[in-house]
Amino acid sequence: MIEDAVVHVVDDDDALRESLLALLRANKIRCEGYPSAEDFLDRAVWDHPGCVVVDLRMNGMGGEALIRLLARDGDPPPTIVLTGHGTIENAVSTVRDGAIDFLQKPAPNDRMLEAIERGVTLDVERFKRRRAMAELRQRIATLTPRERGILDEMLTGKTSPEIARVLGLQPKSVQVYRSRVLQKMAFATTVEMVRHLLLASAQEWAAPGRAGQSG
Amino acid sequence: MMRAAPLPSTGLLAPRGANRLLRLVVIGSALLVLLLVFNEFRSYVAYTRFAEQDIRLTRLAGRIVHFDEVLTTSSRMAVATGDTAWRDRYREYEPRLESVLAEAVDIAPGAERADLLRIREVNLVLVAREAEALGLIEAGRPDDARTLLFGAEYERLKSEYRSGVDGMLERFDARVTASLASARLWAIAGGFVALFAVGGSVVVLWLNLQRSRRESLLFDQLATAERRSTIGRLAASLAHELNQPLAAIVNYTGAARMYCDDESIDSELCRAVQGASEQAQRAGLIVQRMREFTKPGTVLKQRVDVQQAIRKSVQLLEWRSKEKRVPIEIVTHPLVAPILADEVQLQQVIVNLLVNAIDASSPHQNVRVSAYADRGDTVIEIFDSGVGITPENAGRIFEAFFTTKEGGQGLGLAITRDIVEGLGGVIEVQARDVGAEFRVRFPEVSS
Repeated sequence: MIEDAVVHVVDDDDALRESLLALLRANKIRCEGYPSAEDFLDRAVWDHPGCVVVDLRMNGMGGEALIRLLARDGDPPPTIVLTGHGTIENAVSTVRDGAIDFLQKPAPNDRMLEAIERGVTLDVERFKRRRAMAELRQRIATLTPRERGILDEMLTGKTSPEIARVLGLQPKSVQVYRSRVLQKMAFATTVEMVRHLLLASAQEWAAPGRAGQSG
Repeated sequence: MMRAAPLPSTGLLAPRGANRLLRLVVIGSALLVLLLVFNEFRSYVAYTRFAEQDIRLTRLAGRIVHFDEVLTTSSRMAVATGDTAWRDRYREYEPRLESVLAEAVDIAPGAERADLLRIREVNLVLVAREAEALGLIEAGRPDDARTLLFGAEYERLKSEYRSGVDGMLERFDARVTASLASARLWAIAGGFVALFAVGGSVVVLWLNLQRSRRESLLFDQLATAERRSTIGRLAASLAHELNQPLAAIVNYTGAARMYCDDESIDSELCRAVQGASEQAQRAGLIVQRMREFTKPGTVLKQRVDVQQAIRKSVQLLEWRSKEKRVPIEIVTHPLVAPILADEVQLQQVIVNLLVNAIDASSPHQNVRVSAYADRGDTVIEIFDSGVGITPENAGRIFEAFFTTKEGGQGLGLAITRDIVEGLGGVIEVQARDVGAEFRVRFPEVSS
């Protein structure tokens, strides 16, 4: 099991939620419980890889609606459906909407743990992507407006004299700004920085709207 | 607040009694029997009159003719021969004719009586003349007497007397013939009336039998459906209710077993936890199997006329509606499309909702049921002015085992919702200021 993964359990049945949390804690898995989908959307923090275990039929927003909402963002966390009302139609539609597994209550412990492990493993890559992107975004946030302008021009592949001409600056000061940008963004070379940023922005483009969530 | 969930099965099987058709038959038959009795009475009266008076009148008429002949003959013979024996015979018969005439006048009806009175008058004139003739004989004037009794005047009087008697007899004949004809007519009519009474009763009783057989079949179907869905619903609810705690036990025991890896824990305790965990999983499997078993089977859906289903359901509840004095009003709208459903199940839904509405109402509060088309959907509305539903209860009213009725099981509306959803419809409830409104919506049937 991934050391610091967090499992988010969304179920409006208190006994069931608490018992699942107890099982996870006994297996030394970090976990967090939410009594409703709305509460999960409010409180869930994604500073670790993890997965979501969600009940289908709940008061307020149901599990299916939650899965669809998460899927809208293109890069959703792995979700395991746990239900007492399992039908084939339910299973098919939730899996199509992005759930990675569909378990009937009461699910045997090993089946449950297996599904969670799979979910967490799946989330590691995603989490790395998100963390890298978040870091980049944080670093970009430390740039001054002038440095941000220089960075934008660097991304279009312009040389220092070209940037100086476009922005009306001395080529020398452009040089200074460029090295300060590289330093703040923590990259050794311009090529490396541009490659990372373009990759990240491609992902950002593929997954619009998730920008605020990961941290 | 007393609402929700009609008792399944038994609540529906109200006594069938008080059948309107049967009552009509009884009243109709009684009327026909009265007619028959009246007819019999008429026939009896007609017969006695004919038997007693008309037969007597016939005999009297014979005597009137006969005695008149005797009087004419004896008076004329007395005048012609001067033999006193003829005169004595005349004297003997003269009062007898008079008394026969008097008796006939007494018993004869209307027109005939008038005839008889005239005959009597003519007779009196004749008698006076004959007496005068007999007197002339005694006075020794036989020629005058002969002139009196053989003259044209006497003949005229005789023929007047005879035509009077003939007229009376004709009238009498006509009357008796007519009364016989009418008696025969009445006898035939009576026969027909009796035939209609008996035949009609048989037909209506047979129709009634058919109807009640159909009705009881419908009742049985409904009751069976009700029972089946009650059992299914009960099992499904039980499975659902048990599933949650079972899942929790499985999780908790699973957690406990993890801690058993620690050497310091008593191994007996661990075995116990292990056992509990296995049994909880086993119970879970049983519950799951039960759920599989109680999954609703497929129903054969057909096009069903909603208005007709409503009428039939209301008919089934006639008794309950009368007993509680809660009239059911059916509002019909044109252009309500048929829906795809199972007819018995649809009726089950309507009956359940109506029973609920009736039970929630006080006497003389109407329950209204209507069906109408709404943007292609077919909507059935059931509407009462009874105790109503609080908003917080409205959210839970379709839950199994939720009831506010004294002694209610809380299954009726849960089953109703199951059926409606099984038929592809939705059901909703609206709490209002007074009473409640249940709305069942079925999607358009794609042709």
